[in-house]
Amino acid sequence: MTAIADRIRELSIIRRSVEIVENLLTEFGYERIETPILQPAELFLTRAGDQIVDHLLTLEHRDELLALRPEFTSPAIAAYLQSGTAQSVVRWSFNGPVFEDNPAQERLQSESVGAELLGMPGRYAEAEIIALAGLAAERMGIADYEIVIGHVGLTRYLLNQFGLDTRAQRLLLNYLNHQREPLVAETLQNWLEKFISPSGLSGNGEHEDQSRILQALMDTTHPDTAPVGGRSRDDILERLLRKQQRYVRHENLLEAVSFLVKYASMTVGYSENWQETIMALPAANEQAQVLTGEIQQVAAMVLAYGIDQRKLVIKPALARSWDYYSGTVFELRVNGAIFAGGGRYDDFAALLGAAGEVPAVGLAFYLNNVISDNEFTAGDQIQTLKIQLTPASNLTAAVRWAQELRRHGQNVTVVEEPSNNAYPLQGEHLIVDSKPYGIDDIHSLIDLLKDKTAS
Amino acid sequence: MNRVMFALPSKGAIAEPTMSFLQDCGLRVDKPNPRQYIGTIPAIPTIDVLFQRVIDVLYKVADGTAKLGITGLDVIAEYGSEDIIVIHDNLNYGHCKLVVAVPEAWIDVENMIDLAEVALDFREAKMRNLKVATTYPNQTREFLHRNGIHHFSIVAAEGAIEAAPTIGYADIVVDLVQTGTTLRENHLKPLLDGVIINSQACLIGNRRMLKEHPEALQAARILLEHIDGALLGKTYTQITMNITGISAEDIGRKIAANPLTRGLQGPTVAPIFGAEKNDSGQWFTATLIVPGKLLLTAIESLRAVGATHMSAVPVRYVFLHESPTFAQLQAALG
Repeated sequence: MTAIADRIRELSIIRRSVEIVENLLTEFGYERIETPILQPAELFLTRAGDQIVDHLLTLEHRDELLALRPEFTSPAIAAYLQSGTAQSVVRWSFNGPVFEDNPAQERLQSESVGAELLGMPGRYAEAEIIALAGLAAERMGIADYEIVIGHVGLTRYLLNQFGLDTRAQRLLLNYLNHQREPLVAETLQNWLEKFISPSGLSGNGEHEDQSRILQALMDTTHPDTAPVGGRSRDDILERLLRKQQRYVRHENLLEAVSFLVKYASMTVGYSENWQETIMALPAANEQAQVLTGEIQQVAAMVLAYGIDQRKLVIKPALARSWDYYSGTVFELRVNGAIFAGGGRYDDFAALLGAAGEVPAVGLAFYLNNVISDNEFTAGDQIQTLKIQLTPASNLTAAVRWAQELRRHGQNVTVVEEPSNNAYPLQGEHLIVDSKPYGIDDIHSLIDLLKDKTAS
Repeated sequence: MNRVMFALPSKGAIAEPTMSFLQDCGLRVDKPNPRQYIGTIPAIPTIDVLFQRVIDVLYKVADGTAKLGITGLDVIAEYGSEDIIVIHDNLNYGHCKLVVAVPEAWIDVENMIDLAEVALDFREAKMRNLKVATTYPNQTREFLHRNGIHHFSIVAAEGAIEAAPTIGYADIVVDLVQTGTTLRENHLKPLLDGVIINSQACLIGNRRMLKEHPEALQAARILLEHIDGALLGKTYTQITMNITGISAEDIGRKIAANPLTRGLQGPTVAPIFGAEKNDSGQWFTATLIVPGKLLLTAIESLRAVGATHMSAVPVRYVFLHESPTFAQLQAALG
């Protein structure tokens, strides 16, 4: 990574990077969507992840708090819900300036490209999103990168085993994510003991008495007392009650500390026995094995895209934002800097008022983080070919087909719904004009497709 | 000779203490007219004093209008820049803390982790951020993030910040606290682990000016000689005693046997003329300095070796072979 003083040259490189990423996304069937730069701050303030909210750039206009967009995810989900296309699979891409008020950085504005794959559950979507990051890096000539894969769902599940409630888990993960130093058991224990009330730690039933006292206090004091500092009497007492009920036996706490210190520091190369390492943790069980299997499935498919397995690193505790990611998450790092990151965030739509989950996977490229002076080549603009997944499809074969076709100059996207120009994949065979084609038949298939295009 | 502008606080909590401190250091500040912003320090004729608000002291030094100044460490932490060098960070007055304080009625909030959970409650139940009133937005932002609080909005405020939660334009405050009385009067309580910075008065300079202007460095040296001498002097008490012994060397050895009563090098011992000899020998007078906080321990030790009629007086200055802070400054400037 080279620091570039010349802003003009930097902008030129960023522009070429955007072209490369956009062309790649087009090959995968992503449709370019525009979102306003200026949005109501509310869209981000209460719903975007911690990292976004931390550095939101806001301004007041006619009594309304506005924000310069810090990312594309919130507007994308909002647009998806409003478009009435919910439940269908869409692939959207975004690019343009995003804004961040971060005292640690000189600039307020940076260039970003985002991709969102909405409405598609399952591992295929996650692998596609992760692979896009790797393929983009390679097309830009970035050789020295690593893709770190984690699983927020696995982390949440493992923490559940220690009796920590959702709120405790969230604050704890938040704490772990912001730790600059390697995690030390003593520090973590001190933190946990502050969070869990001293009476809860005593384990002598005292907390139950206090809960009763608090309940009595709520029953007997006047509920209409004016709020102080934005919190009513009930807000305060309810939380106090919740705090008192956050009873964790001391031995459980110590187990959790011991587990977390190991878990948070676990970073294993894909080629190593990382699954065994996870399953050796004290909280791991069959469900953990299932979730670990998800990481394995995703990673295997990412490799099928042609990503070198030495680039893959498994760090299960990776949690880009505790707020809305729910499954697989990843970061593509170049010399420690994050070039791209994202993951599955099915819970996010609910924050925007949706009735339930909306399957969603996305990623963002942070182009200012990676500036290199390589020769870039942009792909040609051609029509997109669709491979339709069926229950009988072999997913890895779908990846191979898509990649081979792309290598032969085709823009390819993988869909689930049938359409006139979608070719179903039966097992490992692509059905074109009712005839099955194996991967070895690709040259005759390409000729056929060219004839069809010409006609 | 080029004159050196020295910026001092004109108002605020450290204004008067700064004048007293400098006077104690032998650097009386003369301000001919209370309404003027200019003064002098007769002990250092090359210095002109410029009176400014605490924060403006920083700005004046940063832009080079003043080459030296006295302000608070809290101000430096909030607004400091590369141009500023903190020359002395322990002037030992103007102590205060920048703290996170919440309404006393929040009986469920005792520490920053509690506050982090309340911030999440605000976000999830009230769909809004925790509002924090402060005049220290940078340190507040950084501290809250470090403590896992991300959903907050800074409410810029000037003066009477403590009233913000009662009035309703903020939920909590981050403010400077000296004794805590103002917080208590406004029904606020500081969080135990909510101390953002322990502040006190500090001497600052403009890095570039000190490098490029010898007269500025010279003025800093004279200031630091006085300041180091006075601050070190304050920690010592001088004891003069009468004591009998065979010889001055004998008395010197007895007193210096205890490291506490050795003084900086050893006691000064002189015979007392006219005093009668007794069985223990001749009367001498001995003088030494001891750490003030160990005065009585030293007295007991001296009594044990025969000292009597001891008088103790405060030491005004202790000058070492050089001003240690000035030596550090020279090293820092390269």
